[in-house]
Amino acid sequence: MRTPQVALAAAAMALAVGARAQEVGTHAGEPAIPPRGQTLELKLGSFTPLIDREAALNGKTPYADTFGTPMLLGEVEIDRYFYQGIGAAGAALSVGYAEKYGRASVLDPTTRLVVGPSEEATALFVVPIRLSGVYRFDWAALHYNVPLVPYVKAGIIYEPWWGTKGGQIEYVNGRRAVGGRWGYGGTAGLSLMLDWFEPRLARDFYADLGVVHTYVFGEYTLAEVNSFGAAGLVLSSRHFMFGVSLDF
Amino acid sequence: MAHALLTTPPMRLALSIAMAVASGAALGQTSGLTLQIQSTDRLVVGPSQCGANVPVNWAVTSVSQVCTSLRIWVTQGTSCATAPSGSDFSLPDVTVTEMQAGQGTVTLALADLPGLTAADGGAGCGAAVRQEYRVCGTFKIAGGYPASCGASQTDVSASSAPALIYDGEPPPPPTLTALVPLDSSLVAKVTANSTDTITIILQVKEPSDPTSVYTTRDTFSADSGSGTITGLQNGATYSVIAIAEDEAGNQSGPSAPLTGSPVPTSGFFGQYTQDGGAEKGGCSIAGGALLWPAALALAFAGWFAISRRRRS
Repeated sequence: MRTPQVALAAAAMALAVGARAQEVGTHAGEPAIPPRGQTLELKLGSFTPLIDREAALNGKTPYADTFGTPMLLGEVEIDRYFYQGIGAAGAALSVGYAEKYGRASVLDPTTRLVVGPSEEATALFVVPIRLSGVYRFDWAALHYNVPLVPYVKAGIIYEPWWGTKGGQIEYVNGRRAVGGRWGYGGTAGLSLMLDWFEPRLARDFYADLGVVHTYVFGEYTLAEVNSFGAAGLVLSSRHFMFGVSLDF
Repeated sequence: MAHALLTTPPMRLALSIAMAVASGAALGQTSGLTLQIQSTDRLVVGPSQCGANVPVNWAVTSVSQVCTSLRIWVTQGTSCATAPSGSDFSLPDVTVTEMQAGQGTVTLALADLPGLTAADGGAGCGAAVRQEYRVCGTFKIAGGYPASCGASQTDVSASSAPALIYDGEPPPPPTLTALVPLDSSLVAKVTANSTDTITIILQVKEPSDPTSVYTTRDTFSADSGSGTITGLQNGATYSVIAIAEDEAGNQSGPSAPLTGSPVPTSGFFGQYTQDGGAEKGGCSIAGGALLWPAALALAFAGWFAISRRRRS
């Protein structure tokens, strides 16, 4: 490509970006970007609690043997910002829910060893509750028309769980299959600002519903949920989640 | 029409308006009759209720222009004629005075149902037959203009005729297709072999006592296809039969028996425990275990609310 053509293409690109920037109202004379106070996230992901990594199990794999595949985890998160400058920082509270069903095992009445699968269902339920700090670097998205917003979160986790057999809470040798485990975790993610694709629709969304920005995102979470090393169920996980978020 | 009104002399115009208002008022006063048996539109009875009486509820609207008493009768079949025939059974008439109350009840003795009494050549209540009836009713109101109970009376019939079904036929025995062994319980899978609304009764013979008889341990709708017998002893052999019962309370003969033995099973937590897992469990989700998370969540919600208020 010859030099004048390259210059022309660059100029056209600059004009296009400038025009889009004007559409989202970032230039002088345009309405100011309304500040966002909070973010609502709805997300889903594949979730495998690392139960089988408990040292006391000595390599045995009760989760894999009973359920085999990951759970589907759904979460709702609300973030509230206390700093908005170069990015935004705040606190986040999220609550999730996941369940997994499998077949119970038939035991030999004498030896109590497994002799095969039963018609009876068994299930594990978890409800991860996280209280985190969150930082979103959306400065470039708001001021330089870059539609990507990286973010990080870190915080504490409490995860109630319960197990059932035949639709009832399972009891084993007097132990009731109900409990809760503490832990901590961190998340890194990347949001794609949808306003960038449809600025006029985004403005209507704000005018009608008060939604300032809309994103789709993917994030990776590393959670250590073993009550800080105490004996018992390990509900730690490493998992991806995907969802939509709304600034309002 | 507008042109006609505008060109009509004032006296005739006033008369036209008065007639229009009067006919409109008459149209608004539509008379109606509603009948129900025992407050429903469909009642199924069986031989066990032969000696019983059932209430027939009636309700009429716009009773100010009623000319005749309300006649209520029971007819065999699925529809009502405009008047009772010789084979129908008539209940006592509801007088015009009684109809002023707007609603009331008359009593029908099931033993009087046509076709089921010895007097009318029927098989008698308690017979293994199925008969369907309708409860019908009618009265007359004033017709013509001005409305009067003269020659132009109008019939008012029930908006719908409630069905009364006498069912003396027992359903066929169900088929017990399988007994699935669970921990301290057995799941019985049953086919009803009938299109009627059927309840399945599961009966179990205890294995420890050779003289024991079958006793009812579970009932369920045949639509669900299976029922669970709980509280059994693992390893013991139980004999199970199923009996079908229809809406009228008729019971079938027993199904062919099946035997089954509950087996001990282990769920996820049992498997985890057997594999050496150290989790003790046992804490209550609704109790103290959620105290700290609930406090944190409340603190977050409080901060969220306060910061929103400051912002606004």
